[in-house]
Amino acid sequence: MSIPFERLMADLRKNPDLLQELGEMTDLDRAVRWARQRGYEVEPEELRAMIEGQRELSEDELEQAAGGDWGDGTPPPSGGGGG
Amino acid sequence: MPPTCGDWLSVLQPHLRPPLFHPEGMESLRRLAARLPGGLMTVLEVRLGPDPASTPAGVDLSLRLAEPRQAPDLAGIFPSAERVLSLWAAQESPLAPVRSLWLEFDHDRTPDPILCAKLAPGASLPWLTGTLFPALHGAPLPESQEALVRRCVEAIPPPAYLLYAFSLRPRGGDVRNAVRLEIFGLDPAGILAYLERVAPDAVPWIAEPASRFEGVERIHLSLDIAEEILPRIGIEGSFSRLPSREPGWRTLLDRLCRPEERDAALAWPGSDTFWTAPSSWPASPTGGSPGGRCVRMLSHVKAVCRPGRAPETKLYLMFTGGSG
Repeated sequence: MSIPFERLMADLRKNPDLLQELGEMTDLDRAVRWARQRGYEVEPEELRAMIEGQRELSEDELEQAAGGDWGDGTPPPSGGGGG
Repeated sequence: MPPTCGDWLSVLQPHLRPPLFHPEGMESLRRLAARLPGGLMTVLEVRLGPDPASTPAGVDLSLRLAEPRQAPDLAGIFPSAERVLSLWAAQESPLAPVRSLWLEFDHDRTPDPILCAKLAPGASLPWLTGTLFPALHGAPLPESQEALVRRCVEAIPPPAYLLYAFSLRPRGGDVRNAVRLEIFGLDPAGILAYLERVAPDAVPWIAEPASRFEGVERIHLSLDIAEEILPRIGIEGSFSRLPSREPGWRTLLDRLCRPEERDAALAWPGSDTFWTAPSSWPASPTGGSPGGRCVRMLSHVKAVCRPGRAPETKLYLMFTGGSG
């Protein structure tokens, strides 16, 4: 992460108004312009995953994202706790 | 610094609440998770019961190493597992048939993880008894135990197969010499028919709990084997789809736990991002990007059966931080 991006992240955590403003942006170019206008010289790639994170996963995507052992139809083992 | 498993637990904190999670069980979990890498598939095990006051609050945790290159990081943290982890990660490893390796941590016992190997259908029996179990167990199995393992594996009727193999040595106590076989693909009638062949004494006390898994898509049967098959047998059930798409989840949970536990379990699946957990979101959750998600999935539910006792129910909740 670039220093401007780290600074933006830190400020978003501290400032709910800032968080809400960025949270309303679903368009990456607009979000980059918004950040740069406020002095955060971020790169689009740095913001991309963050902006995409605003969208809720569909059920298909959630099942897909779980991935791993679900991919071959077998869930994890259960060994802990004496059973 | 890449996030730890503990960092992802912080993100999950709003979801770690009664009736599945209790404050008195969280401290040891947090301490353990802070030592573990994030980004691996992780499963939390919680105990359910008719009387919350007498149900242990401790939470056990398992981590999956999906490929050998992930093993060296853990080897440095847990010296007791170093030999197996290094062996799996070695070039031309004798453990190459292991598809993934799970490390399981009991909340109330030794900090040494229990190692569990995931196998493919058709894993060679000589390799299993001659290479895998000695590696997991730290020593060759005694002849009589090895013979019993062979008998139990050979009795598995296809298409069911041995999916997981454990050594329970790190757990100590009465199971310190035991190994666990976890068999995938038997339905309740198949479980009884199989036990009739390898452990007929267990059939009377397994029949009722097994019937609770009728209609379940994916069933595992776990046996602990020392000099004999120990009188504690696990049956696990799950479905491949989300509870919102698979009504069988609710039916199964209704048979195994209290309504409030069922509802909390059904509500577990979902995902978090920076936007749902800005204050606890790791600074660099994917090693460079603040994106990614922490995905929660319902893994499975288990009935631990013992003769003369009501089955004990355990619920397994999965999460993976930094995905997508």
